[in-house]
Amino acid sequence: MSEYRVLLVDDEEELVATLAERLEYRDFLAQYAISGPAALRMLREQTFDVVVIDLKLPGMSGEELLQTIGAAYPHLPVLMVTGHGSGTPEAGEKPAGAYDLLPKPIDISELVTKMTDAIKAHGLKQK
Amino acid sequence: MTHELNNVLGTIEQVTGLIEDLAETDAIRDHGVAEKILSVVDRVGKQAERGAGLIKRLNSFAHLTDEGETTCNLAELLENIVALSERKARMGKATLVTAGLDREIIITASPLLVVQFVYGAIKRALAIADPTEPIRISLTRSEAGGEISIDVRCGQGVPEDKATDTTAACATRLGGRIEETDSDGLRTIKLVIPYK
Repeated sequence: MSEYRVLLVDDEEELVATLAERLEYRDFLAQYAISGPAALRMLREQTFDVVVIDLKLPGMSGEELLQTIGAAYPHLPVLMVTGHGSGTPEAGEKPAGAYDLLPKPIDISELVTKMTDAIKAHGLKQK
Repeated sequence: MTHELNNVLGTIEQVTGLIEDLAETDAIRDHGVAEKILSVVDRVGKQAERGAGLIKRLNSFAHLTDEGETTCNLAELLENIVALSERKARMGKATLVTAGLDREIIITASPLLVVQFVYGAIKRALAIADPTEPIRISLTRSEAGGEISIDVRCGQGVPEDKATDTTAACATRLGGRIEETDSDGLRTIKLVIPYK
């Protein structure tokens, strides 16, 4: 049983709420925010083991949020998610500071694997 | 619009996955879980409806180039244009509020040209808008033709340049006009599209 704490950030509330619910069935403690500022508020108030951010957010962009989290919480691994298929010219490279870049629609098994790998990799770095 | 559609399909995928997750639980016979499943199925239905609506708009937009000049309802065209603009508005934290779209104003024009004309003006409004106030788009009938007024409260440090060459060119080709006036920080962009 992992019980890792994950924060999901996406402005599409129905999508991110459903994803959080599915992760709960996979022994993650999942919460979500629908904007960058809301995510930062939650990070100040609670502890998370990994953050997953949609690249396209209204207002504060996914990349801006990634950079802000990287500066304030360097121990926290961040995965980015893009609506463009990864490997396409539009998707671009994994943003600097992100552990990985995943395509939408999100494959739940792949997400779980990547999050677990990211948490373990960052845990090893801390030692 | 395709980004929105991708989100809709992604949500449907996750929600159907959730149904599978629920179906695998030992609590499936529990009354509470059965109700939960019904509520989830309802959510799928709503997303599918949303997807169908988006596809309809996308098709309508894709077919704009099929005919040159044709008879069309300016209110319907404007409704589609505003729908096209909404995500862009949301990304800039702006909101669009409309009025007068329930009336029928028939014009004879190239729908593609009208879309380019009006969308160009809305983009201009989004570029200068103070995001704390909504951008109001209203449609009325006048002697000269259909009139679209875009009222936008200007944000700080707004550039002074007016309508772009493209928008002005569209106005000329449509036989219409574009006017911009200022009153106490409220910019009004008025577009007039003749009936014929």
